[in-house]
Parts: sequence; C-alpha cells; structure tokens
Amino acid sequence: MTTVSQHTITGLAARADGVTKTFGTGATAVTALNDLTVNVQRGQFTAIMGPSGSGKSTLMHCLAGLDTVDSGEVWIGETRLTGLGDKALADVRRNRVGFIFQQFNLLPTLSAEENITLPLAIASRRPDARWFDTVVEAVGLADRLTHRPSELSGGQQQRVACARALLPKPDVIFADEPTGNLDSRSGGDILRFLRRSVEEFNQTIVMVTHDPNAAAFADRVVFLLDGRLVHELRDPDADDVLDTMKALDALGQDAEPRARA
Amino acid sequence: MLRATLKGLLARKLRLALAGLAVVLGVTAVSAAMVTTETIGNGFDAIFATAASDVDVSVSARPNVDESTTFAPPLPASVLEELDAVRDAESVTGVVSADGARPIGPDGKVISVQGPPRLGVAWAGETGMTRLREGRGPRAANEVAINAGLAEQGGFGVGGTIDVLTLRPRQTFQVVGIYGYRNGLDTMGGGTEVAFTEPVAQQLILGRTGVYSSVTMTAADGVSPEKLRDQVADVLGSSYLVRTGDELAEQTASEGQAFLETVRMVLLAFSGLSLLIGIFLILNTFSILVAQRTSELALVAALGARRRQIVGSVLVEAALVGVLASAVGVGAGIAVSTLLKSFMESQSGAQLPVGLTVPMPDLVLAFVVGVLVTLVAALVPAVRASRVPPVAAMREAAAEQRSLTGITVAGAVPAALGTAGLVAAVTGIAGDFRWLALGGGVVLALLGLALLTPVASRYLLPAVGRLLSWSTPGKLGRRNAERNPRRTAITVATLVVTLGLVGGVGVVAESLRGDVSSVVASDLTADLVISGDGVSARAGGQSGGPPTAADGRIMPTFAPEVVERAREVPGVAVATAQYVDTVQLDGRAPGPSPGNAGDLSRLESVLGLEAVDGTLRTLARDEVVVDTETLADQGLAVGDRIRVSTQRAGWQEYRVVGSYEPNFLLRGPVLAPEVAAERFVSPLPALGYVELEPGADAAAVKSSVSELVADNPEVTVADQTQLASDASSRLDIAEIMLYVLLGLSVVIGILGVVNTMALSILERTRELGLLRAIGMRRSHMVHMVVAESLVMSVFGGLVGLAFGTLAGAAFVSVAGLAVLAVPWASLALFLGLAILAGLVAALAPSTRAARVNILAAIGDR
Ligand SMILES: Nc1ncnc2c1ncn2[C@@H]1O[C@H](COP(=O)(O)OP(=O)(O)OP(=O)(O)O)[C@@H](O)[C@H]1O
Ligand SMILES: [Mg+2]
Repeated sequence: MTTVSQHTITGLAARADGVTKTFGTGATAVTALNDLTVNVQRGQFTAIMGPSGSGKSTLMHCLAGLDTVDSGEVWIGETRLTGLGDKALADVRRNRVGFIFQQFNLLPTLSAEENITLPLAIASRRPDARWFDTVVEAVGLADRLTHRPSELSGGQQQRVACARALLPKPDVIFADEPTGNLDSRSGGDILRFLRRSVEEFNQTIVMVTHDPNAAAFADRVVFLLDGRLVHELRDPDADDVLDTMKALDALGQDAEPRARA
Repeated sequence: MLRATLKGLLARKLRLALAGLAVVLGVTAVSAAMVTTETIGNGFDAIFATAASDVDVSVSARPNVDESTTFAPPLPASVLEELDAVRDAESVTGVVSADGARPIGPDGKVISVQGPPRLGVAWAGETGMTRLREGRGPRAANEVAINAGLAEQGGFGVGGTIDVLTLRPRQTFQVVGIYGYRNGLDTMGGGTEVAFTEPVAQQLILGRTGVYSSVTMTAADGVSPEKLRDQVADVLGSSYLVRTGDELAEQTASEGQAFLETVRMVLLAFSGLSLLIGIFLILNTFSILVAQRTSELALVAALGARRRQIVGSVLVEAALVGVLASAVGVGAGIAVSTLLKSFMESQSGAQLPVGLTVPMPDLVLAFVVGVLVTLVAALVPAVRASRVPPVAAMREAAAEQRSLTGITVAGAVPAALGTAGLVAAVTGIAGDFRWLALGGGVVLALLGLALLTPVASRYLLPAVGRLLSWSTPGKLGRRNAERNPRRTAITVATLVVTLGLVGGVGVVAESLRGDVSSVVASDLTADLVISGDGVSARAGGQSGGPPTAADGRIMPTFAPEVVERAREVPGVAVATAQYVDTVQLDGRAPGPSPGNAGDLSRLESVLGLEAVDGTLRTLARDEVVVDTETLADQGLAVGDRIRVSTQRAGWQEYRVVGSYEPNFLLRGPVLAPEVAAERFVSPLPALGYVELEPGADAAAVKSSVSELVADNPEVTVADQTQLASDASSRLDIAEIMLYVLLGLSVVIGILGVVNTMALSILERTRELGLLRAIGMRRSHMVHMVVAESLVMSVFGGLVGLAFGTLAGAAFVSVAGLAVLAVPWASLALFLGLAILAGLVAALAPSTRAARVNILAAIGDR
C-alpha cells in the first residue's frame, strides 16, 4: 500500500466543535456524541471507525447538516451550520456536501445520468460537460448512463451515488459505510475511486467504515467510543487499524454495560 | 397468524384509516340517501294522514282531462242537497280549496314556493286542522285570514293588507286573522294558504259562486267510512270520485310525493355514483396497501406460511376495516340526513312533523354492502400478492412493472365496438336503432376508455407533464405520476367519468340552447311578448307548442284588457293574446293535447302562421282550427267535427274550419277566446304578443306596454332575444342540477386522488428522505407533489372532457339539432375545476412530503 503525502492546505473543510447530541430523555437517554471535537482537513481522506453504537453515523449526519446538535458548533468550510434554517441547510446539502449512504442512494424513476445530475438540476444548474465526462469516466459508468437503478448491480448503484456526490464539487463528501453491502471487488472499486478523487481532484472525503482494509485507503483514521474521539492514526495500514480496533474493543467491553444502561 | 395481523394493523394505522375513508364515503352516501327519502316520505304521509283524519268520505268531480293535472271541476251546490239524503251521514260540508291564490310579498314580487300548492280556501272556522293563532276569521268580502307560514314568509300581520292574484287580476284584502294547524305546524307541507269568505273564495278560486271543490262527510256512529262511501256512490252514480278519508290521504300524499320522487331519484343516483366511486377507491387503496406489503408477505411466505394463510391475513384485515368503516359510514349517513332534512326544510319552508326515520333493513343492507365490497376489493390484490414468488417480492420495485398488454386488449374490444356504434348512429346506418346505437356506443366506449386509460397514460402523461414540469421538482412529480399506469388510471377514473358526463351535458345543453334560439327567432314575428315568469320558459314543451301548466299549477296570467290597451299605444301595429290550457281530444288517437284560444286573424301574423287548409280568421264559439299533425294523428280533415274536452267544462263538439303548420309556440286545437274564458282553467290569457309599426321606437313601446302590466308582478314584457333566452333557460335548471350532482361526485373523486396521493407518499418515504438529504428544499418537495397531482388531474380532466365532447357531439348529430355548439368557456371552467381538484388533492400529501424526517425516512427498514 502506497502512502500519500499530506496536502499542505490551510483551513478546514469541516469542523465539529464541542458537539454533544443526546437521543431520548430520562432513563432511556443515550448520549450519541459527547463533547466531541474533530477537524476535517481540506483535501484529506478521513476514515471514522469505532464499535457499533459509538456515534459514527450521528457525527456524519450532524456534520452534513442532516441533523442538529444539542450543543457545540458544526462548520462546513466558512459556514456555520448550527442555527441555520431549513432552507439554508437544504442549500448547503445540495451545493457544499455530498452524501453516500450504505444503500438506497438513487431515485428509481430516474436514469443513472439523471440521478447523477439531480442535485444540480434541482438548483436549475447545468453540469460542466467536461467535468461530467471526467467524473463518469472515473466511476466507469459511461455505458450505463441511460439505465434505471433497477437495471444496475449494487456496486454500479454505489458508483452512481459516488458520481452524484462528486459532481457538484462539494466541500466534503460524507460516505456512511459505502461498501458495507458490497463484495470485496465492488467495494475495492468504490474505495479506489474515492482515493482517486482525493488525489486527482483534491476532494475532501469523510468515510465511516468497519473494515480495516477500507480504512487503510484513508490519510487519517479517527476512532470513536461512546461518542468521544479516543484515538487517531495517520497514514494507517490495515494492521495498525486492526490493532487499534482490538484495543478499543477491550476498552469498550468495560464501558459497554455503563453506556447501554 | 391472527395476532400477527392485528399487530400489523396497529402498525399501519394511517394507511388503514385512508382505506377506511373510502369505505366510509361510499356507505355514508348510500345510507344518507336511504334515511333522507324515508324521512321525507314519512313526513308527507303524516301530514296528509292528519289532514284527512276528520273526514270519513270525500266527494269530488272527476277531472275532464286525464293527465296528472290537479284541477278538478267544481261541484254544484245541488250535490250537497243530494248528499243530505244519505242515511248514515252525520255531517255534509262543502269545501272550497284549490291551488291558485298567489300572494304578493312586500317586495312587490309573488311569494314563491317550490313544490307545494298556494291554496285559496273558504274560511270554515276552526274546524278540522285549522287553529286560529291571532285575530278572527274573515267576515266581509275584503277580509282574509292567512296561514302562519305565509304570514312569516311575507311579513304579514293582523291589521295589515295583502294583495292576491287569483283567477281574477290582483286584489287587495285586509288580513284579519292568522292561523296554524292542529299539529302545531305553520304550514301544511310548505304551502301557503289564503282563506276568504265562502262566496269570495268560490268566485276567485273556483270561478263562480255556489260551487265547491269537494264535499266532505262524516259518518254516523257505528257506520264505517267504507259503508258510507258505498252509500254515497249509490246516490251520486259514477260521475263523481267518492273516496274514504284514508284513500284521500293516500292520494294527496302520493301527489305530494311526486316531488319527493325527484328527490329520491337524485339522491339514489348520487349514492349509486358514490358507491361506484367508493368501490374504485377501496380497490385502489387495498391494491396499494398490499403492494406495499408484498415484501413483508413474501418474508412471511419464506418463513413457511401457506398461501391461504397470507390471503386470510389480508382478508381479516379487510374485514376489520370494512366493519368499522361501514359502521362509521352508516352513522355519518344518518348525520348527513339530519343536515339534509333541515336544509330542505329551510329551503322549502315546510316542516316535517316527524323526526328522523331510520329504515333499519336498508341500513343493514348498506352496512353489508360496505363490508362485502371491502372484502372483494382486498381479495383481488391479496391473491395476486400471494402468487408473487418470495424472492421476486423481496426485491425493490418488483410490484411496479406489470405488463399492460392484457388490459389494453381487453379495453380495445369495447372501445372499438363503442366507436362503431357511435359512427353507425351518427352516419345514420343504424336507422331506427340510432338511439340504441348511440347509448350502447357511449357505454361501451366509456368502458373501453377506462381499460385503455393505463396505456393512454403512458403516452399522454409525458405530454401533459411537459407542460407542467418546467423545473426539476416538477419533472420528478411527473415521473412519479407515470410510475404506475394502473394506479394512475384508477385514481383519475372518477375525474374521467364525471368530467366526461359534465362535458357531454355541456355540449348538448349549449347546442339545444342554440337550437331553441334559432327556432324562436324563425317562428316568432312579434316584437314583444307579454308573459308570466316561467311561462315562456315552458314554451316549446317536450314536442314544441304552447307552454302548458305541466305540473298542474295555475299559470301566471294577466287581464285581457292589457292587449286591448296595448293596441292604443302609439307605434303598435298588432297586439293580441293567447290563452293556453291542456285539453283532451277524441279521435283515432284519444289523449291530452295542448289547447289554445285566441283571435287567429291576429295570431296568424304575430306567430307567422301559415294556413294549410281553410282560413285563419276570427272563430265562432263552435269552431276550431287544428294543426296539421294533430289532424293527421286523429284521422280528421278540415270540415270534420272534433270532440274536445276542456278542463272546466268537459266534452264539446267543434267544427274544424282550418289547419296550420305546428309552430314552436302554437300546437294543438285553437278555440275562440270566449270559449277559453268559460271552459279553460284560467279565464285569463297567459301570453300576449305585440307587433310594432315599421320605424316605431321599440324601447318606448316596450316601456309603455310594461306600464300596462306594472301592477302584476307575475308578468313581464320581453323582446325576442329575452324570450329565446327564457325558453332555453328551462334547460339551465336541469343542467345545473346535473352539475351539482356531478359536483358532489367530483368531491369524492378529489378525496380519491388525495387518498392515492397520500398512500403513494407513504410508500415513497425513503425516496423523500433521500431527496431532502441531497438538498431538496421543503418548497421543492411541495412543488414535486403538487406537480404529480396536477399531472394526474389534468390528464383525467382532458381525457374526460374530450370524451364527453365527442359523445355530446354524437348526441347532437343523432338528435338532428340545428347547431353543434361547443361551450368552450364552460369546458375551460371544468378543466379549471380539475386543476383545482389536483391542487386540493395535493394539499395534505405535499405537507407530509415537506415535513418528512430525513434520517427516519432513510433509516426506514
Ligand atoms: N434516532 C435515534 N433515536 C434514539 N437513539 C439513537 C438514534 N440514532 C442513534 N441513536 C443511538 O445513538 C447511538 C449512536 O448511534 P450511531 O448510529 O451514530 O452509531 P454508529 O456508530 O453509526 O453504529 P453502527 O456502526 O452500528 O452504524 C447509539 O446508541 C444509537 O442507539
Ligand atoms: Mg452507523
């Protein structure tokens, strides 16, 4: 595995500052994020790892403007999301954030091409033709553009979702277990594409994963446990990640009864 | 399995509520119709039963014209004397009571009542039903008592005056008393009553003194009404109608119920339509519900449930929904009829002396129908779902794409047959069967259209959608509408059918109006027409000819001096009057016919008549001129003698001295005016015609002639265009009634679209979440859902209106109307209504789509 030298870019693509998020009230309350602070460097590929229920998805949702925080602040680039209205948040999601879910990323009524250009079309913007071709070529979908999602394989569908996320050149792309439902070959395609976007197009990416091999594609891995950032690796390889996960699991085993109470 | 079903039910409360709504609507409509008609019917029976409760036997004269006229010739006082001889009679009373006392309200207009009669009666004291509330009965010729309903309607009080139109022109009376009825009501079935002294009532209401409209008798102790009736019949012979009080009540009630029949027809037609639409709705709703659960059902199947169990679980669900919703529907139906009852009471001024009557068996039927329809509607999609292989069902979108070939072929056959029928009717190939071909063609074509709508939607929706979807959210909405052609077709079916009917009716009515106007213009050469409200509107009757008092009511009339004085107005060339009535003819085809009287030498010119045989001149009392068609029907010719029975005087023989081409305003025998004054129901003319001298100032003459009838609020002076629009206005009422009826079904149709939209939105929660996640604003979501709804409703509206217009045009062509007039403005309005329906239907679903919780929606399953 080749390691990539870190881009020297000042400024952050996204930032969570002292963020706390609690679900439910009283006895059933669960603190998903607990005074968590994390910075996402521009042009970097960041992976988020941690045991199930540690708050990874919640963090991504809050960063992407899909959910609100109880306290603390969330920034995308120079824009503070905390306190924005619904309309402004929708615009941020459309123009400045890309999101790739684990599954069900596409509208069944639209062709692959229409799905890819949907965020731009909503704002009545036309995609730059050369950039569109570049993106489509990068995900290898040139001959599948007119197909409906139901006519595409799971891996192809995820690649369409990647292209859609990349096309508006957002500040950050968030991907929540994008390879979770795929076999290792299709998953590898997606990861290579994400890596390439970072290197060639200077795209910032944040990805949640449970797979150490996937995490090894990232420039940096942050580890969550019970809603806190507990560890961080730079330019990791799969073994480092695996070791860290094991260590955290041991920690988590002790913490588990308390956290679930 | 049952427990799993019940749990599933609770988990899908909203969806089931929507399915239930469809059932509720259908059952509500049906039970409301049943309860309302039953209640009104009972109310009428109760009113007339109490009214006749003091009468053992009633005697009246047989009508001279056997049509459903209420006019019975008066009985001479000699009948009373004959009846005094009847052994078992305790009392014999002459009654004066007949329709035709038209009170004039404080606004100078005649007080109008819809349906019930405006009786003029002779005051007989507080006998029978009558109970004085205030003042006393009339003692002098210029005094009257009135019923409380009239007093309230016209704001009359004891000590004031009231103007009344009768067989004589307008007269003013002192109000000396106000009375109600023994059962505490202000009116009998909503009618007004004016009570005069006996001689005055006889003169004004029956035409001369010393006559009675009927005689009522009570039997001596221990004598049954039937026995007394038979005794009376023996004394009087067969020329009189002798009935017991019960028979009379039954007869009167059934006459009163003639109008109720119309109400019943309208309500039943409405409920039939809504039940049909309800079935559509239920079917649609359940197929969506089951489609949504296909994967769930497949999972159950994969876990080992048998097909029967799966179908059974859906049916249990449907049965629960059906029972609950039908019960609610029956309850709502009763509530609606309470409202309808009070609405009708306030509209007609009649109070019903009964509470709500609930016909239990009928309602049980409505309930059972509701449950059965729900079960059948659920069975079809359930069986279909159980046949889907588990693996296929678990895949996304499996349920959506089904081939349309079968349904298209099934629709093409009736569509082709229907079109062939229409073509045959229009081109005349069908000959005498052209109406059958037209009717069958329309029904078959409509059936075919319903089955072809899914295919049509595939090609037409994108076209319609392109007009409406100028932005991406709009385009997304259009795609959603195109997604499932079958569902779209069922959703818009109501709109297609109702707008088809509305469009067809619109075209036919507009063409008829054009036809009537052109006929009036060609047949009427008079410049001005004097006539009562609604008289000219009835001109041209079913088969052309003069207006007749078809409903048996006294027609508005005016004094014959009016035309004489009109002749003296400067600028008037000819002025003459036409008397009208219904008469009975004897000949090869005996039966009722419109009857006329007037000065033919003058009518000839104002009506543009052409003498076919003989001359059209001023007639002697025993002479008659008859139109050529009637002569031919009766097998008579000019020079023959013809027997004519008039309402007031019965059979008489006349000599036919001439014949004429029947005309829009004149048809049937024409007698001398003196004959009308004696033998017609009303001795006064109903129509007056004025022809101007060349170069006369039409407006000035019109205002001078109007002056002559200024004191008669029933009568107005109209020029030709007004007459034409009056004559065609009788179509308006039928048209409006139909529109109201269809409007109600449009409302249900809207609820259907709402229902489908809401369910589709629920079904697509995950997509909605995704759209929001990738940056759709709430306003975009609303736009998208509105576009979907609009595309569907505009599509349904266009298809329906196009079909209706074509069917209407076919009708116009088969009926041989002079013009085919397409009411573009109305059609545009109807399309506007369809658009409005689409907007209304999108209201709730779009709000829901805008409010969808992104993360919950995406995490869905
Ligand atoms: N909508 C919610 N309501 C209540 N609790 C929630 C909600 N969403 C998340 N949680 C809780 O918050 C905590 C963090 O959840 P989150 O989904 O972020 O975990 P995760 O790290 O993504 O786990 P996984 O790896 O299983 O996806 C969990 O304990 C979860 O139960
Ligand atoms: Mg997660």
